[in-house]
Amino acid sequence: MDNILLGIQTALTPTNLLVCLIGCALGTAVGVLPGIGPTATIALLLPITFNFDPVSSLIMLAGIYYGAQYGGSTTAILLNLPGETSAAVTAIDGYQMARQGRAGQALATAALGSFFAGTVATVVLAVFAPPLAEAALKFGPAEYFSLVVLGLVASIALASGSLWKALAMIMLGLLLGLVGQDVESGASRFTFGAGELDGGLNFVSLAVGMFGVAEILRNLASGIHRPSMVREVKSLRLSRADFKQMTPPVLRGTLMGSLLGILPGAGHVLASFTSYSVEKRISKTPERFGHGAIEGVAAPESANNAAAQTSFIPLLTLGLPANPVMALLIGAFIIQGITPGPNVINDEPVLFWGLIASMWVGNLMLVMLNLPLIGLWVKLLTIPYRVLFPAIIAFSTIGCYSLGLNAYHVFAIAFFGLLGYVLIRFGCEPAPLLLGFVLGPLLEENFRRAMTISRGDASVFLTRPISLAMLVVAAVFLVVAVLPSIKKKRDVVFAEDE
Amino acid sequence: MATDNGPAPAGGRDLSEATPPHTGVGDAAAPPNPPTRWQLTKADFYSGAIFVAFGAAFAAASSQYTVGTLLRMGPGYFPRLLGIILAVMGLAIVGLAVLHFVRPRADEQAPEEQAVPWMRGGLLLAAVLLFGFIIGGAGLLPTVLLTTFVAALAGQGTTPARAAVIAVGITALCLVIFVFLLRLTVPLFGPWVGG
Repeated sequence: MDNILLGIQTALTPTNLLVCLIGCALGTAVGVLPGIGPTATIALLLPITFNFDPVSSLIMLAGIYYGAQYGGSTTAILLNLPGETSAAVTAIDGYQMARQGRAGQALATAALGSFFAGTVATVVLAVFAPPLAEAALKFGPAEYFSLVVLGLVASIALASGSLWKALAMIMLGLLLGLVGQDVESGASRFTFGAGELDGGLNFVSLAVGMFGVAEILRNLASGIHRPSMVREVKSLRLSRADFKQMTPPVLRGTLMGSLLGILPGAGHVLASFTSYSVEKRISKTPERFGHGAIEGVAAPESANNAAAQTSFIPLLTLGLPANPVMALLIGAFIIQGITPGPNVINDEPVLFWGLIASMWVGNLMLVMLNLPLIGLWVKLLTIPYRVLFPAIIAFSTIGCYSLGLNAYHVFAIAFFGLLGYVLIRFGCEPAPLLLGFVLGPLLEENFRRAMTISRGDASVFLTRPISLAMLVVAAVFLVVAVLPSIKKKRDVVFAEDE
Repeated sequence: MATDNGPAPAGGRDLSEATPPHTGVGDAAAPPNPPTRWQLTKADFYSGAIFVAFGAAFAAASSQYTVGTLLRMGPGYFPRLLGIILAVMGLAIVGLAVLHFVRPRADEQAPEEQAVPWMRGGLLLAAVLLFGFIIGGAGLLPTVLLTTFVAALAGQGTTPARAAVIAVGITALCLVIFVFLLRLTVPLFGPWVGG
């Protein structure tokens, strides 16, 4: 209880309220805008947040992440244009509602469902994170190694595209993560004698290059689709019948989202898709789905917002990122001198509880930002991409240069942008690479420690029960992901993203 | 190990003459001819080759450092292990691509082909590199102005005049955010322009 009070106190200081508001507003904006997502935005803002204290910087970055979920659903409903992948399912029925003149009801359903789900998921986070961290504190190096392996495997088993390519991208990320000085021996590895590389490849440059510049290169090739017609929003008021219809789907969506969000990988995308198909299956009138069913908006919206919140659980308790945004937040922690992991709750209670409380505050802000100001957000769509992308370039270069006033960080953006673009073109998504990059040093350190303790016996990973269990689960994930029937389902799930 | 390929549906052989499946999307750019085998497999082939190259390079570079044994691992051990695994995975991806090339599956669609924006993409990357080269000498204001100008030129149908307008606008915005609000300590004008 003291902890919760501490959290609320932290979240309600004027500075933190302000950064939370900025984060939520920015998140909504990038959620609305196609061509720039929360991952690129957070990468761009990482250098700027160095000047903030750790709590404020994480509150703002987290706000961008869940704010983008709200913004993405707005354009999904009004324009049939999911600004964010997880909003793709919302577009199915949400846009139909808008076509029938019920855009306001769809938006209100999405916002209220998201708010409810966000509130519940915040409680889930507050209740389940501490015991999980407690358990993780007992992990030895062998368990930690297996846990990281499990996290990496799960993140791709649930993601889209070729499993082989995703695995190879993780390996490449792990290797890139090892560039720089070896902690144990002090040897400079893969630096070609360049002193700048001793500290490792720059995390911000890599993220900005792979998710910012590579994305622009892709958009320059394909062009950005921008619809011209926006559905009018008449009234946001929900009738009693609407409420009655949306309540059970919101509850089920929240439950499913909270559970699936904890899984590494595309938890929130999976959550919104699963909850939609569940609603359709148990509905007495499944034929209404696809033609403006309010349940088809309520369930996936609550599910994806709940999942967005609970995906913080592995980050805050284990130091494991569940998705690329969480990987960037790990970077933010490290830059602030905090090692994310089970110690955060005890060592940094202000940070942990302040962040959680700020999520609830942020969700409340988002409802207020989104419903009355809806017209303002839609106006953002009139910013042409040819103006937007030079601005992204300016922000990336200035931000990365300001890291150490070192031009090397800027050259690195161009390198990773080009590499990212080439890989994307050949069907390799950059997300697994980023996860690998962040976890590479952790994986190596625990592997070496485990080997030292076990006197060079590699079977230690299989003889310690917890470690074995995690590796078995990882193996099951891999097998399941390549089974033809599941593979087909994966393809369907992620075909919805396009 | 080749399970990822999945069993080919019955009668899925020799489809080079089959009519392409209807995409159902009113896309004017839909190819009139069935995809060639090379179109179906080249992405896998190239990406696999990239992974082999990176894996082999890391594995080879690791042998400069002490490799050691499992009990006493040197700095080269773990990267060499990962490099070899990556190279093997790359080989597997190339191998699967070759298999796929020899035995294409039924009713496949070639991945969407987009022309590489050589000129515009090159301008964009040149803008980033330009920033790195001149920031130390020219200072923040001229650098951002030039960088955004070059980057804006990469936009579809952006004329130099329009790019100049965009560059001035973005530079003003950056000055407000980075200099006035965030108090960035980079000098506005560098030694080259008398700063």
